[in-house]
Amino acid sequence: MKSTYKLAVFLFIALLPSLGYSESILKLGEGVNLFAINGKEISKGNGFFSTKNEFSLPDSGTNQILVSYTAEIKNSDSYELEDSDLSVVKFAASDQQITISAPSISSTKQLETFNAHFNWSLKTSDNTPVSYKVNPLPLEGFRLGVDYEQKLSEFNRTSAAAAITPAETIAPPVEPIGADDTEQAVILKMLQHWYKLASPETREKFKDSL
Amino acid sequence: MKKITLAITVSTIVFAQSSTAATIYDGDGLNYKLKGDWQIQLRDNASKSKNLDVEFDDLELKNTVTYDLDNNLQAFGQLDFSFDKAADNKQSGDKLEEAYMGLKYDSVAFRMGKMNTSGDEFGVESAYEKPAGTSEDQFDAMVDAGDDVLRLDADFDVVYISLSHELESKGNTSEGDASTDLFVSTNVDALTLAAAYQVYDNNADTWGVSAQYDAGFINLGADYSVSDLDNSDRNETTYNLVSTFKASQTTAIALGYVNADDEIEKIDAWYANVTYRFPAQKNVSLFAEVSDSDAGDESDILAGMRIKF
Repeated sequence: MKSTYKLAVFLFIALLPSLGYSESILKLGEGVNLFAINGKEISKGNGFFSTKNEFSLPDSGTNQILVSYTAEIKNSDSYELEDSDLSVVKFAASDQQITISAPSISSTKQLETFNAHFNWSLKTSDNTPVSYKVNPLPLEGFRLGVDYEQKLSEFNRTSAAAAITPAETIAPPVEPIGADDTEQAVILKMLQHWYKLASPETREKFKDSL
Repeated sequence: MKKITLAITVSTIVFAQSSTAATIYDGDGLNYKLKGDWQIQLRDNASKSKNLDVEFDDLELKNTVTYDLDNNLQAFGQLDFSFDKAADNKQSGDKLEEAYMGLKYDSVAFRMGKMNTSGDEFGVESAYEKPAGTSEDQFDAMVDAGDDVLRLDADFDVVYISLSHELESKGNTSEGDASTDLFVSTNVDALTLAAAYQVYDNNADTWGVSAQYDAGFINLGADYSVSDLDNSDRNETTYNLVSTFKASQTTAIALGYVNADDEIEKIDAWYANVTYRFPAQKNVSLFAEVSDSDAGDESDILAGMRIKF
């Protein structure tokens, strides 16, 4: 039993680099709208005059964001605000500041081209391009009150290039293992860790299996 | 309809968070959008005989429907209701500002109905309200919208071409003078050049040229338009000089000069406006403007709020 316990501790530490947790920063360029990070909708709460365009990302791993771009389309002698289609973008971050921006769009044709290619620009603070995978988020029907977390969960069960599996995401911070932790305390921390990583469907299956 | 195109070009500043999606339904080849443009101002205009007033401008609700007909072909239509006159108690109901339908194939669209003419695309003026005694440009001074318009728009990336014709519609309730407009613009890096020509039967032949340069931190624009009046040896001329720039991440400033000359009277006018956009929602802005014109009794001062979605 003692060796099993040691093995568990070893595996736990080996498999969970997030114990040494730091963060990357996602910065939004002009007109970029962020809806979700790693499958979780972001809070839209903001100060009255504040400009929040920076968001924390888990470090050292794959991240997935749901974004759109609001373009100002010239229309006769005025302009109209038009949103691009929603796109799911997957990229790797490692203790970096990454800025996502869209090309200049001022016509319907340019917006249509962007919706066809989603040619986002992701760059680090030293202007190094960051490679990424992108897909549109399929939406059909009424657009009011869309549950983006549910839609992303469905998207992530597909084989799309920008889909992520729970194992690709970074685990949320977990309580470090103490030298005095009992075997059961370590097991509890491991269970908590893997539960946090599991998708809602996997959690339900797990509960049903008990 | 206010012309703030250039101002908006530079006021696209750093905005985070999601904006209001105008798309109500998108599925099975149907896309339905509800768009709005609401603007209310507290204004003390350039006339001494008029006191401070709450004015309504562009209280519009637009319904836009697009059907995908496959093979790059789309059918589209728009109904644009404006309520600014109704809000000012000048009429009992709403006003239909645009009502058209058309077909679009790839980069070329044809539409028919009540809409702005192609010459309305012309101009760089960036004021919320035109300074007293001036027009945005000579196309605005002549005619820039109609009830019986046939219009073709083609966007070929580098070159944009728009051609429209308003029927005379003699004998019908919408009878009026016919007009034909051509507008062409092209982009060369940060420089946008445009030209327009209009034949407005029984009124004038009008032409104009414009240039805009986006230097990043500042946008500069200029236009010049001339109307050769029918049944007269006079010309009417309007030219604009505009610069717009960011004062901060959320604030844009526009400064403009307008000169109007009809060979009887020459009017010099200038305006300055500031626009603040709420960082949490690109759709909401506060603005203020002051302008002064030779044709006014005093400075025109206004402040207001705009919601656009």
